[in-house]
Amino acid sequence: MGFLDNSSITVDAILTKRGREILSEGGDLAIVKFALSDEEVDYGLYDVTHPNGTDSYGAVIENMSLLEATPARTNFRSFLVNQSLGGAQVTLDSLNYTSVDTNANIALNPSTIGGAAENYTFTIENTNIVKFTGSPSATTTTASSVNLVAQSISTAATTTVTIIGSTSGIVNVVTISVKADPTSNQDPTGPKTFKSNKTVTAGSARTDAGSGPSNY
Amino acid sequence: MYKNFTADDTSTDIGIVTSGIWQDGASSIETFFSSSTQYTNTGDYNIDVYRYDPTNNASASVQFGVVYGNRDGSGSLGTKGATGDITTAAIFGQLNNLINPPETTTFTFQDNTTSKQAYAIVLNRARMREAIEPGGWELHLSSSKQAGAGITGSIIKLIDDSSTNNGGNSFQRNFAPEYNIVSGTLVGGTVIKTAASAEGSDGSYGTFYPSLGVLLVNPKKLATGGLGLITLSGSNSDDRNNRRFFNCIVDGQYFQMRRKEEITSTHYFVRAQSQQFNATTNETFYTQSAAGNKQVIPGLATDPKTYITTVGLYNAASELLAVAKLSQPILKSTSREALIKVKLDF
Repeated sequence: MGFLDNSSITVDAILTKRGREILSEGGDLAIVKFALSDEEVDYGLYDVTHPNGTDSYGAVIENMSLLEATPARTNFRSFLVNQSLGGAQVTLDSLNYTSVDTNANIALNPSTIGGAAENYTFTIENTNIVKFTGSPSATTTTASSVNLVAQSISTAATTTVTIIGSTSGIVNVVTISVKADPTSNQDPTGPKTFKSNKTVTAGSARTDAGSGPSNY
Repeated sequence: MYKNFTADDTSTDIGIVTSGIWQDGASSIETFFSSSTQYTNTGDYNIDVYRYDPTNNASASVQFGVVYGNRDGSGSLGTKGATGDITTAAIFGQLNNLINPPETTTFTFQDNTTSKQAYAIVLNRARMREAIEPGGWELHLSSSKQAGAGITGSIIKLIDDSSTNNGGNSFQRNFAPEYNIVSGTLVGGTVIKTAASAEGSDGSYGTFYPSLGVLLVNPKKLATGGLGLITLSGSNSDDRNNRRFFNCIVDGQYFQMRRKEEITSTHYFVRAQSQQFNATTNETFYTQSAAGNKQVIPGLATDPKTYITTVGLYNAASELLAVAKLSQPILKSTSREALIKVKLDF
């Protein structure tokens, strides 16, 4: 007879930059939901030919040590979902936009293949490089599609836009490279031109009307 | 992909955490150093005290400061009509203004209600964080190496009387609680040698303000209470009494102290039930044909298994506010449920 394992899984969470920002503004975190991710896991290492049998198929994955959490996260690269959504994917016309001119518009119109129609959460990594048309202060917006506008920047720079299906959780990433504007003195790696990180949901009223330049 | 928390999934508690206050998390130190640079520039006001010698240890950081204050400016250069900063008067005014109620010009050390001078040990704020733990400190002072006449004392051991003085003194002060500094030791359990009320007209050894991080020490008691430290009070004279007090700390070779913090924690119970979270958007979970059709990789198609590595906490707007990482991936399948307790400290 042996002793039962009485250990429980307890983990410490760290706030993301957005979480810190909300606290610094005196706001309430108001955490209402969670999502699970399997980032860092390569299921290709699941070895169904392992000589020790089925219990050892996932040994390589289960024994790995994971990286620590970092605050500079806005979302995860992959999510655990229910089986009904297994195999679904989010597609776009293009995942890579290069040499985009200043003030050029980019339309992102994703669709979910293998799942129900849904809205998507769009998150811009660096809003000095592209912004949402009509919502210049937002870094995140939820809608079925969005239009982006390339910003005037002093040196060529690249950013990403992460697209996550609101229901499916499927992630895709669009990379956008904007050309330098010789007339600009805006450093693309400098502080964000709009401090607030407001989130805009489809159908909600804009809270930043008139706060930016007129060429969105 | 998101799952809402229910009322049963969250709980909040406030815990008190104590830890060693000194550099490297030590709760007691036996060596004390000052910086010649600091002492040369501002030593007439205060002496910054280090655990390690700052001249040969780049990581040495200030642990606390030592000051001497005198209402009349005695023991420092300057007086009316003479140059000098009257630093001891500045220190006295500083402490008096901070600690005492309005229209008070003397400190009260139990039965000594008219002290116009005081030594003070002021803890580094970053080291103290929130407060000093009452009943968690002990300071040894020795004047064996003091220069000058009349040095006859031996080592004295000081603690606070929070173990018997519940709630602290009832004198009106700007900071509460206030405890008395008394002779005693924490070794073998708190033992108070002489209660503050029994110290006589010279008063107690001092007062202690845990929330302020200040130990106010009564010079009169240091002179008569066994230490024999003579505080000099020359007019327009740079006596550096703070240096003499610092030397007593150095010679005492022992300062134990703990800090105290209230940590508010919220626990989120993340429950992944058997029929949930058994698929993933992870690209490596699938093989994709040329036509774009995704198939789950062999071995996982008939008996799907996923691994949890990360928990994300979101607000209603689906903004990621907190991230928790597991130390190792947890297997999730239709025959396994996962319960992960995520702790968020504020």
